[in-house]
Amino acid sequence: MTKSLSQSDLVAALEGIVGAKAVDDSDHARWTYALSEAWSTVSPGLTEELYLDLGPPDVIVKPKTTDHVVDIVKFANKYKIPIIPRGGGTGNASGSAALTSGGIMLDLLDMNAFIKYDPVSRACRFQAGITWGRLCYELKKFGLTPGFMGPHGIYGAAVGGGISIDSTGIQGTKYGQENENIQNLQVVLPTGEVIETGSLANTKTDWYFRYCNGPDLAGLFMGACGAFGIITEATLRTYPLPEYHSDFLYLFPSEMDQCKALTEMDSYELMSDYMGLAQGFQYAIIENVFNLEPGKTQKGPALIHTSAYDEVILERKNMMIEKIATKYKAIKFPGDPTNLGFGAHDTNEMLGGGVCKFFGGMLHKTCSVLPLMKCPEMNQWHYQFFKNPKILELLSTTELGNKCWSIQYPGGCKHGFVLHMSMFNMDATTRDLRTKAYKLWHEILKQKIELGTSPYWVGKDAFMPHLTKKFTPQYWNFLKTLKKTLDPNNIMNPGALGLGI
Amino acid sequence: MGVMKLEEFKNEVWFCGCCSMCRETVSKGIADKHAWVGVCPVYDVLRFDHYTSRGRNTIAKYLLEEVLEYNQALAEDVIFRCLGCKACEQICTPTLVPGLKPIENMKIIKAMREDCWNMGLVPQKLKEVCMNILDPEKNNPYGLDKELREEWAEDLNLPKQADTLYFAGCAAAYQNQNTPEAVIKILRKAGQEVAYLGNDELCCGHQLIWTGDIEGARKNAEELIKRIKETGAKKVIFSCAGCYNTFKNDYKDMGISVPFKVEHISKTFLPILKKLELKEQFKKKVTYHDPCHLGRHAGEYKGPRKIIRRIGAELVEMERSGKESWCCGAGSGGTCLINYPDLNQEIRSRRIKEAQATGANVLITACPMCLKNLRDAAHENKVEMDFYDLPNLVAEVLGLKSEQYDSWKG
Ligand SMILES: Cc1cc2nc3c(=O)[nH]c(=O)nc-3n(C[C@H](O)[C@H](O)[C@H](O)COP(=O)(O)OP(=O)(O)OC[C@H]3O[C@@H](n4cnc5c(N)ncnc54)[C@H](O)[C@@H]3O)c2cc1C
Ligand code: SF4
Ligand code: SF4
Repeated sequence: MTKSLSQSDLVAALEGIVGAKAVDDSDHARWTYALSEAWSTVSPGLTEELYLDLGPPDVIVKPKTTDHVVDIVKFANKYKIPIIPRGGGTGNASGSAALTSGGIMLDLLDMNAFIKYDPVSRACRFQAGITWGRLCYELKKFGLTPGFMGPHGIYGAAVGGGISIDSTGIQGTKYGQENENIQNLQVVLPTGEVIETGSLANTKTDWYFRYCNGPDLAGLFMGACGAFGIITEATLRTYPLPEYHSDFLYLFPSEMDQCKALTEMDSYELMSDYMGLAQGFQYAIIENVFNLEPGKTQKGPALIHTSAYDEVILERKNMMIEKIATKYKAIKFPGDPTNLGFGAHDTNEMLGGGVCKFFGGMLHKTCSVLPLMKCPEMNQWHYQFFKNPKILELLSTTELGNKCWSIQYPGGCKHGFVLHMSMFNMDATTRDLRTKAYKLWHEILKQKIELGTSPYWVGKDAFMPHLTKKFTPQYWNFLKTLKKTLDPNNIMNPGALGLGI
Repeated sequence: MGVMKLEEFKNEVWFCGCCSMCRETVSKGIADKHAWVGVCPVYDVLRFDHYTSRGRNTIAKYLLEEVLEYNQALAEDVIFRCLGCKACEQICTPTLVPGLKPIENMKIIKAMREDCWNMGLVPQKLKEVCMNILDPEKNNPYGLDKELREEWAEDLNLPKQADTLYFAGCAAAYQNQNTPEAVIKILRKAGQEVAYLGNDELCCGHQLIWTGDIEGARKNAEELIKRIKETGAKKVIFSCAGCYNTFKNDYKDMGISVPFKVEHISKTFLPILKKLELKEQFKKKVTYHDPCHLGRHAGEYKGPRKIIRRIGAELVEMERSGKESWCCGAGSGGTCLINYPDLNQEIRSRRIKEAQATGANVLITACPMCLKNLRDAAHENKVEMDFYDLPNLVAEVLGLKSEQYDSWKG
């Protein structure tokens, strides 16, 4: 990859910056970092589509400080070496894997310091490689929560990764998704300069606020998948930890009733989190609980989580929820739905490989943001799609019948928007099957874009190739001009956002 | 080529969703159903993804695809560096839907080690341990004389035949002789006589299994089980967590039938303690270290804690305990201790400091390997604590302190 520099010189130079223990260029290390989240088969070397021209990074580096990042970026500019920033490496669009051959993989998980809690701005400052679990743990010591608590069940994802991928997730319903809670960012630009956004642009300011001092520059780096710079520090709002919680499960007569009721509850800010289910494996459990005829009902279950700082307020919220549910003729599950094994407030949820194992195949998720009221329409498209005999034939490789795919909307955002998630699973043990799955996955992603969904997965693969086709030339040119201006040597995560390839 | 055993776990490998929870999840005080503060001790020190199960499963995918090949560097750097502490498998049990099962990371790592063994890629020091175990003149991992094994039992006149047999294991018999002696004294005080194989006892083969010499382990296990059967024992009791788990789970996984009941002494001692009068209460603030092979591997968390409470001690848990406990760093069968001493030293230092932070002045565990490793860590870090293997503690409160060995505290 690095034409003017030998591999040993590259490694020596990086070791000079971060120390030998923080650099690894062994084959096995490089291939480990060639893959991010595997559920979507977007991995060099593992699907036919991607196999031939793609490869692992040249080297993995673990900076600890902003100065380290600055030095690495300046060095990379000198030799025009691509840099791929990586947080938890759990993003589904392979934004943090080296889909172009080679480059420096910047593993940011050692930039994980909790810097401080500032009671004046009620915000916390930390290095961007801190994981959600660690951040929540540190804040708990102050009796606080970041509100939004990271993507579902993924305690290992980094806060910086979430900023860069516009993450939705736990308690987004109440507090808004991650980026709605960001106050300031510290960014190392692709040419190695460091900027502070928001209130900190004024060097005399020591409190945290997102806006003022000119344009909202933090927004430029949100959802940018590292194409415009590396986020090294960030500030998030904090909230007192609510003391009182409750969970409910309602079954609505139709998906439309379910979505209308949830939208209404959300408009009064009654819920902290929820999980709407349309079709799939959890649905089978609900059918069991309510003694419904398997596969015959079209009812919409919804798990709802409420929380409050005061018992009476919680009671009032729950009463209002009950009133709205009754208006939409919902049936209430008599017991504690968390005993069903899944809750809306899923800080206990662990969405690991066990889910793939349960299905007997690799899961291919297609998550994007939709208004709740658009979900029934999106679901209808899926129902039709999965009725196609050709698709059914493909999926039947797992012999799991209608358990092979599911649709759900686990809250995730505020103001009537939701993370709409459909997924199917397929045997992934041969390259041929993975390639088929990859194509099928892209077929769904393409159609979701046609139906106007807003993807937050915009790394190098997934929705990106389909999305860019829908941009106006003016929008697309604007993005490209931004990239060229900020990153003249095109070193910053080439391929992310479809830019700089 | 060369991924024969791993091929059997192809599905498992592909089920790993690379979700990253097995890397360094922190959930203590955040989730109510699990309380992790970090997961993989090796990652905690070395900080690269390839040291985690997530990373190793990724490497396994590339091995299965023949993008990567097994080689010495991969074996030494990654495959043998894992402690086998099972934390990564424990956390990979999602609570989303009842019936979900974790990725069997321990079977995957063992399969990779077996492939390495078959290809001659095992680190030399571990190979030597295996040779010692299978050497008929030694039968122990330390390369010591076979005849020294029963030295601890010399004055005890233990029978060779009884309904119950005590399996002392190599670590206790050779390195921590006051532990087996304590076991026997306690049982005798309760009126129970147990058989002991003496010099006919073989190593359980724990290290063979964790080094990948499965054929060697199988032969060794079959011979050992034959010898135990000849004693007529219907039950075998263990004070070593590693030996206990080898009999309880590993042999089963290898398809070897174990025709007797197996029991860890934490279960044996509890009714004894209820029956016998304590000579004195153990009125101290103590903490308990869960050995990985007794806890996560064999599922025994409560027994030792009940014993500790029963003797009147005040138990203060470390920040990471039970299912979310932190390995002492020795690694399965001491593989890390033997092959990666610096890594082991760093991990054990972190654990002993965690023990110190409880404010307890006594550390109790139920595995001779953990005991030795943590005691060494205390020494290195100048941590002032007393150390007890569970049998020694029970013996002390029953007034059975040994005269033969000068220190019950190891
Ligand atoms: C089981 C499972 C469940 C999930 N559920 C959700 C969910 O509910 N909601 C959701 O939003 N996502 C979900 N995801 C996807 C993913 O976990 C999240 O999007 C997560 O926020 C990504 O964070 P990360 O640290 O792993 O990012 P990475 O994958 O490491 O990176 C994501 C992108 O950001 C870039 N990047 C990373 N750090 C920086 C930085 N400091 N500066 C600049 N660029 C950077 C990378 O180059 C890449 O393009 C899920 C994934 C899995 C495996
Ligand atoms: S082993 Fe389990 S916890 Fe670890 S990455 Fe794979 S699925 Fe996740
Ligand atoms: S067994 Fe322990 S040391 Fe090995 S990968 Fe799992 S958590 Fe890490």
